Amino acid sequence: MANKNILLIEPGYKNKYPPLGLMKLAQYHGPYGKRDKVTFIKGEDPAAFGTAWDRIYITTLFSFEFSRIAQSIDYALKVANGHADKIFVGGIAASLMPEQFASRASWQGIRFIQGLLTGSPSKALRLDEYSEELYSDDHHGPAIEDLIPDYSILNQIEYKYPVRDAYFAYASRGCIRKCAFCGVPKLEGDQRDSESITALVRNIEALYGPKKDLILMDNNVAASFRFREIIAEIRDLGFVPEAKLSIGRTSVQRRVDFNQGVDARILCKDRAYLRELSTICLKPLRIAFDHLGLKGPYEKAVRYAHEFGLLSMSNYMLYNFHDTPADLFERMRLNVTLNEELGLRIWSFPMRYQPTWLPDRSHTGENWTRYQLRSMQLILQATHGVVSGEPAFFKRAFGDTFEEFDDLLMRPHHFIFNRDWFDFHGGRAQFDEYKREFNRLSSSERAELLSLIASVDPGDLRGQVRLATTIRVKSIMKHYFPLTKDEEAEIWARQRAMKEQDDPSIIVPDEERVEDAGLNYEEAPASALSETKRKKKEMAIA
Amino acid sequence: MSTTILPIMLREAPWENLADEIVVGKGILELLSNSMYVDPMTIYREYIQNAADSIDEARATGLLGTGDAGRVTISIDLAARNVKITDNGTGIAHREFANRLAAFGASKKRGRGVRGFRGVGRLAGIGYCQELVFRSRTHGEAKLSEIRWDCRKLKTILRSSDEHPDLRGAVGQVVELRRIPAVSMPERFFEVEMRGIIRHRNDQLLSAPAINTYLSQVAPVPFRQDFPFRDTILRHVGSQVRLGDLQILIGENGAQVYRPHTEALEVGVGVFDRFAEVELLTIEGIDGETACLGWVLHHGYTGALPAGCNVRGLRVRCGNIQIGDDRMFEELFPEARFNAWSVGELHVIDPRIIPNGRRDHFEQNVHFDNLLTHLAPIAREIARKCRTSSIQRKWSRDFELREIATRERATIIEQGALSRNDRYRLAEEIRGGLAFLEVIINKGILPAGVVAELTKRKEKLERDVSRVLKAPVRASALSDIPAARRRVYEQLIGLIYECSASQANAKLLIDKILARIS
Repeated sequence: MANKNILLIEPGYKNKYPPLGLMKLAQYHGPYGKRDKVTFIKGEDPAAFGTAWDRIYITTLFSFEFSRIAQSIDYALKVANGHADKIFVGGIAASLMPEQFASRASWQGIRFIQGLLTGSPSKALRLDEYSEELYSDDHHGPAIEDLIPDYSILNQIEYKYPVRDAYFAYASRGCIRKCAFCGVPKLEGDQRDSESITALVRNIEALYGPKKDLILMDNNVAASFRFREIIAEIRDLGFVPEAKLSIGRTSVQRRVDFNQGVDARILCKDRAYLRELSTICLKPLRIAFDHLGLKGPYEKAVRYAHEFGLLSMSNYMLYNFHDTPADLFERMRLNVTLNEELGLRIWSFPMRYQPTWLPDRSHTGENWTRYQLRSMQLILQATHGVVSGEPAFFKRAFGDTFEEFDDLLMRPHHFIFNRDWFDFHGGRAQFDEYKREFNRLSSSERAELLSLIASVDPGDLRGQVRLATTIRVKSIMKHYFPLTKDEEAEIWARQRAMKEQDDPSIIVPDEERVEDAGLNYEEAPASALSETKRKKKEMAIA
Repeated sequence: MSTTILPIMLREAPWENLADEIVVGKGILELLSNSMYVDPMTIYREYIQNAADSIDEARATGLLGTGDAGRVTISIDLAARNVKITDNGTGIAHREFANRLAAFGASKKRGRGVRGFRGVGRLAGIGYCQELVFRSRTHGEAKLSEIRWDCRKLKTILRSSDEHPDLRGAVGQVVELRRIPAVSMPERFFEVEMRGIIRHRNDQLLSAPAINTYLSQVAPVPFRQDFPFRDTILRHVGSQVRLGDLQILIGENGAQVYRPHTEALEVGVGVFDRFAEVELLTIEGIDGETACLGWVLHHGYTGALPAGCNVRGLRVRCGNIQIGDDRMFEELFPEARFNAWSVGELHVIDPRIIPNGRRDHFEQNVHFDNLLTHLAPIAREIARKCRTSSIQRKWSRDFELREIATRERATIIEQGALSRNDRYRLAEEIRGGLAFLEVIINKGILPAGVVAELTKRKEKLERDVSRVLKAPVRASALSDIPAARRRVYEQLIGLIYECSASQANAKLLIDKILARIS
């Protein structure tokens, strides 16, 4: 049949890795497959209205980006002139919360695909041969999931993925664990091995040229019985310490990244795991530290890593789940201690938990308040999402003790947002007055204050004052009223004049950061802030 | 326990055929006649379609030479309320006559690439006349065959609450056959005669102009000679579509039916536009073959075309006969109204795109779906043209209004009755007006020809007002009046201008006042 017009859409959210599912679909339809005309767009491109599309595929990623995804689906329906039967939606969000998608009446007829495109293309895409749908007779072709991702489509869009010069592969899929916060059990199921990464790497190289890095998206590679073989395979592919890729006269450092992290509970069992990992150019070593219960295994794993010379480490730290702010602080503090003691460079990336079935980021864990979460987000915005393991910077950003951290989380947001201004410059007197009042509060008064400020949007705080039961709480509330636009503008203007010292954390390259720290995300009610204003804010932080 | 066994038993139980119990009741006739053809004019389409197929066959078998026209005459007897539709196709020989004309849904034409293939179209007339007669003679036959449907009797039978007779019985009671000498009849023909046509609203079935209007849009008739895009379209479409143009003659004087397209287009009462360009379309089927050929005529897109122009809308034809109406593809336009701004036709080539039984739409299948998919961008492009044109008209209108207003201001200054301040203010407004015209010209929205013309007009305006702009304060028309009173006058005049809705009217008034006081 060939020459069909195929449109691939990735919604216009920011993300770190190229859409592998769409790349495989591009391979299926592309020059080595059905020889159709494949077009890839990110977001909504009005030019697509000029073409008669035979099929439209939309990928989805984070479930909390539902509204952005919905925008793309609505757009696709318009492009397809309402022919929902031409539209296929798949990917992570579509798999994690199918009912959110299926329940929308205006999307009736769109096929929402859960999980991977395994099995024959006809079956995986639920094509109907009776209605002679395009390629519905493809009962015996290889599974789309197993095709080589088509890297060439990435050149069709302006957006540059932070990680793109890489082989993306899985040495294993699924996970032995069933952590309540994780989408993997639902998405991939039990732990199992996957096809040889060597074949994939060689094929990508043959079709699209050599790639600098090897990104392995295994959820729990250490749990694989083939762990040693997998590492050996990576070595054989040339990804050994100090490996370089030469392109013309220049050569660049290569790296391997198990980007979903490695399980500390397994690493701590035997030195052999880290010994193996030290034989490849792993950068960084990512170890998940999701709650304080993992402290023992985590610390042990870090020490082993140090023993084998793996000094570049990175941490995922889940918060806003069943943890408390104290739990998070202790985890972050432990890294500072380890850094100091062992001379390491561990970067932590606190990641705020959102249930996988929730279409936005509104979840508040049982031991957190909305106010504290917003404070945490503001602090992280200033540090670009990274928790520095360098003691001075850590202390400055998060406090030296949990008490300081706890106070910080309760601080009026404009004090956090314009921290230097209120700590050292023009706002100091105001801040000192707040501190004086705050220090006078009893613990029950603090609790009352927190519940008052956490229960409404900052703009509505004035109405809360009358609910305060003591004079002291009533009095301190005034500090929480948000600054007027003019006041904010003035602070920013005066701050801009002062060159600040850079936090060393900004040297963490984009490709090593976490996929989504939600830093640019605004709370629902506050999202009324215009884009330009948000940009300004970001500038002010930078 | 039974809950687990029952489903298994249900699944395993054998199915039986029920050949003996099948009943085809008389109600079917109603479905095939009245219910199928809601718009009475569609009867003409059905009979013309059969004629066209028969004429094609006559041509293929050599009965009709290349120089001979395939002719259909429609004669109307207003007094008797009869209509005869006669063609010079192959006709139907006596040996097949009864068999073919008393069969239902058993057309022998299916799968042979002809227009009709369901074998029900000939019943179209049943619901609209009292007696329906088919007669025919084929080459070499001495007698002609005739079959007559008694539609009144049929109606009575269908209305009775009795379930009998069944289909066969009912037809047996109302249909009669005979063979008579073919005195003074053509040697080869097929004729449908509808006798006692019922009165239906505005009696269109008997109106020659109405039939002409209808068939000019629907039937396979030729374009007019003077339609400038005729040859281009025929070359494109004729390459793969058997157009089978018929010479359809209606009424006593035999007015021939042509397609309604001409060079000009009446877009409103007495307002004409013209077709500037034809865009030829080729639409691919799902296997890469040509599914449709078509064309769109571009014009000024000044607004929705009136229904009476008979060409509006994106339309579709199968075997060069229109399927559905001018609103068939309305929903493909971003705004449905833009369909009425467009003029275009598609000819379906892919035999898998199949008109439905009523020929008011198509069977829903992947091939028709594919056609819609490919049409959507074309409809969007037309809509874009409509929008652009309406934006261009808006800016042209704005230009004109501002041009007039600017001239007016210049004449008011020249009148010389304003205070110094008012004159300066007006001069500023004139400059502003010129700048605005410049902006419109440079917007990049208007077509080059229009830009050139507007530029000329703007330059002329500039020359015309330059004197006023150079010396906004000139000798006052009120210079003879003492200064104190003059200021009062100037103030009042300024107020009159300020407060009046029309500056032109205000100026006339002030001209008169000036004539009186100076």
